[in-house]
This record gives sequence, C-alpha cells and structure tokens, in this order.
Amino acid sequence: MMTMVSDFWRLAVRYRLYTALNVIGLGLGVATFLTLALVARYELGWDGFYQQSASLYELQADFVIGSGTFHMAEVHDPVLPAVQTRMPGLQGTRLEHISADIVAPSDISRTVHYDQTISFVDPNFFDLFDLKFTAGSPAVLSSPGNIILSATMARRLFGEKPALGQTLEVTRHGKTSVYRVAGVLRDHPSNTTITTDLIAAIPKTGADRPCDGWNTMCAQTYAVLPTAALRQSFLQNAHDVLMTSPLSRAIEQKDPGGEKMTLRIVPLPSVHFGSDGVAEDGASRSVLFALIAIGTLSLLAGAMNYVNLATAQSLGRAREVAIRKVLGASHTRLMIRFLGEALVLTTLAAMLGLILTEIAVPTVASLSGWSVTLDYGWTLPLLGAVIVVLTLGAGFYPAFMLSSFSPAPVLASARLPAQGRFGARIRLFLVGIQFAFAVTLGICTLVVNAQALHLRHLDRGMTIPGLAIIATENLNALDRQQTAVVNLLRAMPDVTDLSVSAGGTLGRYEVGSVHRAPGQKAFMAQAIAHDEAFFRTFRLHLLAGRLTTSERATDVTHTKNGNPDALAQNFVLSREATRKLGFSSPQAALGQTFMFGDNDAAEKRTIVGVVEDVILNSGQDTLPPPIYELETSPIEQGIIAFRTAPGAMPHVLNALRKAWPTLAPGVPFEPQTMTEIIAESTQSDIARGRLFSIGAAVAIAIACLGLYGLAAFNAERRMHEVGIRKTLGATTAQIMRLLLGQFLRPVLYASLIAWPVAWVFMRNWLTGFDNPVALTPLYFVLTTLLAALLCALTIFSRTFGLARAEPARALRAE
Amino acid sequence: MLIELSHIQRLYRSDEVETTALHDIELQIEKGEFVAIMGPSGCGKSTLLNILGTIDRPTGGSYRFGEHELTAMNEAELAKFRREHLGYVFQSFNLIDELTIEENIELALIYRNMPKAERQSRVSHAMDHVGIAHRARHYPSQLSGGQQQRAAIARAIVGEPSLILADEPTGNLDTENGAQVMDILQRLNDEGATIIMVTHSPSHADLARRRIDMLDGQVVVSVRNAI
Ligand SMILES: Nc1ncnc2c1ncn2[C@@H]1O[C@H](COP(=O)(O)OP(=O)(O)OP(=O)(O)O)[C@@H](O)[C@H]1O
Ligand SMILES: [Mg+2]
Repeated sequence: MMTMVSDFWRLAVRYRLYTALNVIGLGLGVATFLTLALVARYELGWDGFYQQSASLYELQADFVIGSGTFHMAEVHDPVLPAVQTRMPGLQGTRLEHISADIVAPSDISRTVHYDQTISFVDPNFFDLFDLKFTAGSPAVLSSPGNIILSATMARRLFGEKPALGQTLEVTRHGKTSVYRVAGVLRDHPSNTTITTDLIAAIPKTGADRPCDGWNTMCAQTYAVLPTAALRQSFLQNAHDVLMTSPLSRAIEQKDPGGEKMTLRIVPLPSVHFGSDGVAEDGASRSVLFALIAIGTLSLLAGAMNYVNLATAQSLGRAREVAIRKVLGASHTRLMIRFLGEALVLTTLAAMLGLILTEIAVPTVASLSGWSVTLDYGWTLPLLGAVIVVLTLGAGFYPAFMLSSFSPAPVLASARLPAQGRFGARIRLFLVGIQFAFAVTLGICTLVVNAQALHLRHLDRGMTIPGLAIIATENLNALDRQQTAVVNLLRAMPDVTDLSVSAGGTLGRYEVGSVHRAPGQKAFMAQAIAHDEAFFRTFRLHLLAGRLTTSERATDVTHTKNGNPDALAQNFVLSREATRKLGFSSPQAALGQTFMFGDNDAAEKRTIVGVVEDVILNSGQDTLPPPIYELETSPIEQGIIAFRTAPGAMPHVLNALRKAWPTLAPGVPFEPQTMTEIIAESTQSDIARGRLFSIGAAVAIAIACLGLYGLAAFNAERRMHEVGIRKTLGATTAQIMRLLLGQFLRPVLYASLIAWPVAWVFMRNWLTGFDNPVALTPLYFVLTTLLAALLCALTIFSRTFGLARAEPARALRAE
Repeated sequence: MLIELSHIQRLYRSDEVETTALHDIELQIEKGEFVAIMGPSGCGKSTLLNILGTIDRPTGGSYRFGEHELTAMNEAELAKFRREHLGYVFQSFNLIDELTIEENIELALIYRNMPKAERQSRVSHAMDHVGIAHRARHYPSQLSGGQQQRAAIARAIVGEPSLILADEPTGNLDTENGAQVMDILQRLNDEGATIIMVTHSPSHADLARRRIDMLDGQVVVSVRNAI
C-alpha cells in the first residue's frame, strides 16, 4: 500500500497537469453529487421518521367550483369521528390549526408573540405521530387547558428557565384563554408537514374551537391504513359520511354552477409533494428529479473526465508498460497496479469533493430553503460507495487499455502511440456527452434566470415604486386606531394619495360567484371593496371605459350599521374577469352586464370600466380574478395603501414609525412597500435560478477541465505533426483551425442533443407560469455559442504556443 | 545568385548556458547547384539547414533568397515562401503516422489552394518518380525505412520547389537504399533543382558538385568537386 501511494505520488508529480485536472474535475462531480444526494434524501425523507409513516394516510379533498379546481389538505372536522363510528377500531387523528397571539405572564416585559400557530389535536395524536418528550408525556393531552411546546418554542418563550408548569395567555379574536405548559417535545427533523410548536387538545366546546362543523374545511385528518382493503373501506365510508351530511347537495353538484367535492387519501410521505396549496411546502417532484439527474450526471461527467484523461495519459506511459512487460510483469499484475492508482486518485478526488460539499451545503440550504445539513454518518458510507464505483467503473477501461499494450511495437516506435482512431473517437464522444450535459444545463439556466428577470420586470398592472401598504387586521380598535393612522398619513405633505380597501390578496377579499347570464357557467371572483382613492393610489392601468366615482349614486355601495343600504350597480372589472366572462376585449365588455352572487340570489351588474390585471405572486398559482366595488362607508380589516412623492418613502415610514406607539399601542409596526412584496414573491424563482446557475457552472467547468486536458494531451501528441505541417508551408492560422476544428465539432454535435432535451424541459416548466417568457431560439444559440467560445478559448490557451513555435523546435522535440 | 547568407549567427540561450551554433556564416549558392555539407557532430550543420529552410530563425545576419530578404519576413510570409519554394527531406523521414503515404505527399500541396484533380496527378507523378506508387494506400508504419525515405522525397519534390534541403537523407538507410536515394537526388539536380544536403558519408558528398566543411559553427572549406 505504501509503495502504491509513493508510486502514485511520483506519477502525480510527473503528470502534474493531468492529476490536477482529474482530481478537480472528479472532485467537482463528487461534490455536486453528494450535495444533491443530501437534498434528495431530505426531500424524499419528508415525514418518513414516524414509526407509522408507511401506513399513515391523509384524507384530502378536490373541490371544483365553477371552472376552477381547488385542492384541500383539510376536510370538515366531523368527518373523522363519523367514519370512526362506522369503522370501530380505526386509528385516526385530527390536527386543526389556529393562529393566535401569545404572552408568557412570567415575562416582565410582556412581549407579544404575534400570529403563532397552535395545533389542536385529538388526544391520540401521539399514538400516530410518535414525537419524543423531554418533559411531560402524551397523556397530558387528556386534560383541557394543557399545552405542549416544542423545545425551540419553550426556549423562545422562557429562555433557559424550565417551561413545565408555566402559564401562557393565548389571545384570538380579542378573547384570551390561559394554558398551562404540561409537556415539552424534543426537537425533531424539520422535514415534516406536521406543525408542532404549540399543541393542545381540540376543545369540546367554546370560543377556542378552531373548526365550525360542516361550515369550514379545517381539519387535517389522518388514519392508519396498512391494507388496501382498509384504505378502500375508509374512503368509501368517508364518502358515505359526506353524502349523509348537510353538504350532500353540493357534493353531487346538483346546483348548477355549484361546487363538487371528491375525496382521496394520500400516503403521508407523498403529502409533501402535493400540488401547491395542499401542503405549505408543496414541493414539486419534477424539480427533485431534475436535481437527482443533475447530481448523477455531474458525477458521470467527472468520471468521463477521468476516463478521458487517464486513457490519454496512458499513451504517454506505453513505454513504461512495455518495459515492465519485457521485465516480466503479467497483465493481471499491471491491471491491479493501475486500478490501485485509480483508487488513490478517486480517493483524493472524493476528499476534495467532501470539502467542497462542506462549503456547498450551507449555500444551497440558504438559497433553496431546504434545511439540509451535512450528515457524516450518512454521507461517508455513500462516499465510500462512490469511491468503489468510480475506481471500478472509471478506472477499469484505462487500466485495461494500459496493461494491454504489447511491448514490441511500442518499443520499436519513436513516438507516442496514436492508439488508433478508435480511442481518439471514444474520447471525443465522451467530451461530446459532457458538453451535451453542460449545454442543456446552460440553456435551462438562461431560461430560468430570464423567467425570474421577466417576473421582476413584469407589468404588474400598477405603478410599483412609491407605494406601501399597512394591514389593518391588527388595528383592532378599528375606529380609533385605523382613523388615527390614516389621519396622520393624510397630514403628511409627502403622502400624495391614500386609500383604504379590502386589498384583495394583499389584505382580504370576498369570493363571489360570477356568471355572464342566468343558466351560464359560473366562476369565482374576488370582490374587492374599495374607496374612491383606490385606483388613483395604486395607479391601476385603465384599459377601457371609466373608473367608478362617488358622484354617481349607481356606482356606490353604501352600508349602514354593517348592512348594505344601497348596492353599487356599476363595477370596474379586471381584464381577466372580463375574459372569463367571455368578452373578446376590454372594449367589448363595456356597458355589458353580468350576474353577481350565488345562483338563486344572483343580481345583475353593469361593467363600466376595465383595468389591467394586478400580478402580485410569481404567477405559479392562479387566484380568482378581481372585480372592484366602490364603497363609501369605512372598510374594515383590509389595508391602508398610500403613495408618496418620489424618494420620500423612507422619510414617511420613519415618521410613521415614531408616531406608531401612540397611534396603535401594542400593535406590531409592519408596513410593507410594494417593491418588497414583489421582491418576496419572486425570491424563490430567483433562488432557483441561482441554483441552476451554480449547477451549470459546475457542469461547464468539468467539461472544460476535461477538454483542457485533452487539448494538452493532443498538443503534446501532435507537436511533431504540427512541425511537419509547418515545414510544408502551413500557417499558424491554418494549424489553429485544424486543432480547434477537431474539438469544436463534438461541442456542436453536443448541442444537437442538448437543444431538444432542454426545450422539452423548459417548455414543461414554463407552462407552470401565468406569464412565461417566450422560449426563443436565442437561449439555445447563445448557449451553444458560449460553449463553443469557452471551448475554443480552452483549446487556444493550450495550443496557440505550439502552433506559433518555430517548426524546427517542434521537430526536434521527440 | 539564388542564396546569399551574410553574417548569419545563431545563438541558443538555455537558462545559464549560451551556445553559439553558428558563427558569422558567409555563403553563396547558385541556382542549380548540388551542395553537400559535412562536419563533425554538433558543428551546426542541421542548424544551418534549418535556417536555410526558414524553419528556424537566425539571431543575426541576413538571408537573401533570389530577390527576397527572408530575415525581414513575418510568420505568414515565411509559410507562403516555404510552400512555394522549398522541399525538405529529413534523416528520420518525418511522415505523419495517421495519414497514408499518398495523403502525406499530398500534404505538401494542400496549403496551396490547388484543385483536387491537379493535386492527385502531381502526387501520382511524384510517387512514380521515386518508385513508391504501389504503396500509396499504406501507412508509414507499414513501410521499410528506404521506402519511407523515398516517400519523404516524393513529398519534397511534389510541389516542384526551386530548393531541396536534405538533412542526412541516407543516415538511417543501408548502403543499397542510400545509393537509391542519392540516385534520385542526382536525377532531380540534373532536372534543374538546387539541392543542399547534409551528410556524414564522404562517398555521398563526392556525388555533389560542391562540398562545404563546417567546424564549430563556421564554414572552413568550400571546394568544387571536379566532375
Ligand atoms: N534548440 C537548441 N537549444 C540549445 N542548443 C542547441 C539547440 N539546437 C542545437 N543546439 C546546439 O547547437 C549546436 C549545433 O547543433 P546541430 O544540430 O546543428 O548539429 P549538427 O551539426 O547537425 O550535428 P549532427 O551531425 O549530430 O546532427 C550543438 O552544439 C547543439 O547542442
Ligand atoms: Mg544534424
């Protein structure tokens, strides 16, 4: 072993360039593979650590309203108990979330922890989800008024003091209840869909009840269903329960334009991969598989590099082999020797890969939001396997080739053996594959980044800079606090416009059914109540007609004591709403009527104006299109939006912050500029773009390393030929063309493979967006040109000196 | 006068040692001459021939070829000069292993933008001239040394150069093959080609019209053979 290492060392020094290129290329491949393997393990291991994971199922609902389908991860709260009476002995549990503000009375400063998620569960919850306790036990769930904290939450609320026995004040909708901490959970892996920071038993009665019977779908419902027969019967019983419930009419879709609900069960580990909206972290399987593919291909690219460089280098060692053979070494012994060298080299590369992984994992985690960590207990055995596979897989062919040289011709020839056209072809073929991979990733990177850029600069239907909003839902003393904030802002000279509205997706909206005429198909729209200054403040782009005004009685809804007194007859609609109503253009919709409200109660309204669609999210989930209703009475629980003079925003926000404690004591100060909101919504797309860029850079780097090595080898081997050609009158340019052409061709062929593959991937990916960039040939051509340029530079840097040299020098260098 | 060298000097600098391969060479060669260069190993014969063939540059002095001043030419001009005026024969043949004999010979015409048909007729003519036509499709490694050298000569003459440079063309050959090569060179000279040949064999040198002896980078004697 020692002699093997010292032999390797001598070789490594002698073939410095090859060794370095090989170790770096393979190291990069190993690092990419390990990092993405860790990501894949994290994603595929989602919810996998519960003892019953394999037999746990979640009951979900698909909900068809009008033309849209909604997926719900929650069902109605009474479903599970009703199924359990039909299926005695069925193990099932419910999880119902509320959001509340929490104060620990032991905290002298009485810090309010706003918007904490509390999970109400059935008492048997821990039988299904076996989380470990550091204090207390699952039994505490049977007493009402007890609450269980995660270790993290306990630390956050009580610091280093023991949490057990402390009390918590939980405030929701203005009502406060007191809970006693009766248990603390050990921290568990973060890849689970179950939120368990604060757990209490579902109250039987009272204001704290999170769900309202058959009126809301808010219970995550789980059951242990180990057999197909059980699953079948569970689903059937759940369906029967619904059919005998007050919802049966809607479920059967007996109402025209009504809703239809179907149930399904999803294995716990798959819940995470549900479509958006089902699970909060709804990840996409296709992104995961793309990452796994990239990881594997990177490793493969590194291995190809190894094969290429090793076979190229081995030609230079043919003489060594020939002499060893003459001295009596057998084929087998030489094989073992060369495989040993491969082992040392891959081990070196693996160590480099591990170091790079150590650097890459935190970067990837922060870019992607995956809480991946480098778990050595899992990574090292994998790394060992990688070393063995690489040594045998990549080391075998070069070792075989090297030990197969027959001594006589090698010793008889003065020059490096050319190793036939076959070996050269294989090397070019491998380089081609590496570049096909690199070019595919390169194209995807360009498109993904272009899409992120496109979203950032998208026409969002309003003027973004200078606009900010304040949610008013926390301003609970509505008349006093909201008015105080509005008045203060109005008094500032830098605030040019101010509006109070329901705010739509920014605040709240009411979903209302809309259809063109009686009997026609209905769809859901967000009805956004707003004041007169709304359009001016947001600068919504008017496409046709006029905006509504309080000067016309028929434009305005007026409420008195919370009840509508007069209803607006005229509405401004978003472009999307008119499209869904079936109008060919905004102009075509003007003066036309539509029906607003549930079927029996629908009323006729007139379209007087059409505004551009407002785009707030990254466009990957479709929200109901807005219709705008002017209201003159104060609007509650919505948003205050204001626009400032150019550049005055920081100054206005500062003044507001100073005044805030007296305007709204105890309420968090959380204004958001529209610029921030947009940036947040495109963040994940930008992060994905960055991840892809890193992946592409690594792939291209590996391919270029390989090419550089080949070009170097080639330059060395063809030095003599170049000398002859120059003696015969070839110019430097002609020589360069010869050397470049040899390598550029595989890159161009590689593009022929990469283009359709990347096209299919990207077309699929872009269909997920409402506003996709056009998939123009530009991305394809640009990537190929770039790859060719990089490739040319790589070869150039290695061969120009040779092509320029005096021919006499090249001829002498034998 | 075809060739005029004056004050040609070639220094090699490697790390600390400085070798003067050629000292102040003065040499004139007429059109149609057959010159043999002799001298002990390391005296600068190959260096001189390389400079004459413009595949090496002198560090000083001037080299006139006809009306061209070659030391003033740039890289591309020299390449053009080589392909139009020169033919080269080496001691170690210097054929390209990956190309057939035919392709090796054609290489001397490829950089001239000559139509394919003309190239082919010239190549087959040159192969006939040296008696190698039956080996056209073979690779160099499949030929004997003498055959390889004849192929190399065919490559040197296929472009009908005005000057043929041969660096020990018979050095790697047995007596019989050596004699054959000398025969071809003499015939080419008779047909009008100017030939400069480096050799260690006094009998081959005697076949030339003029003999130049070198020692330590300098021309010491230049004698005309009485023929
Ligand atoms: N590239 C070089 N670098 C350094 N010195 C060189 C170089 N080429 C030649 N020389 C030196 O120049 C001198 C002349 O070399 P050259 O090859 O011309 O000799 P030669 O007369 O052809 O010898 P031989 O008969 O052995 O072929 C020698 O001393 C040689 O060492
Ligand atoms: Mg010599």
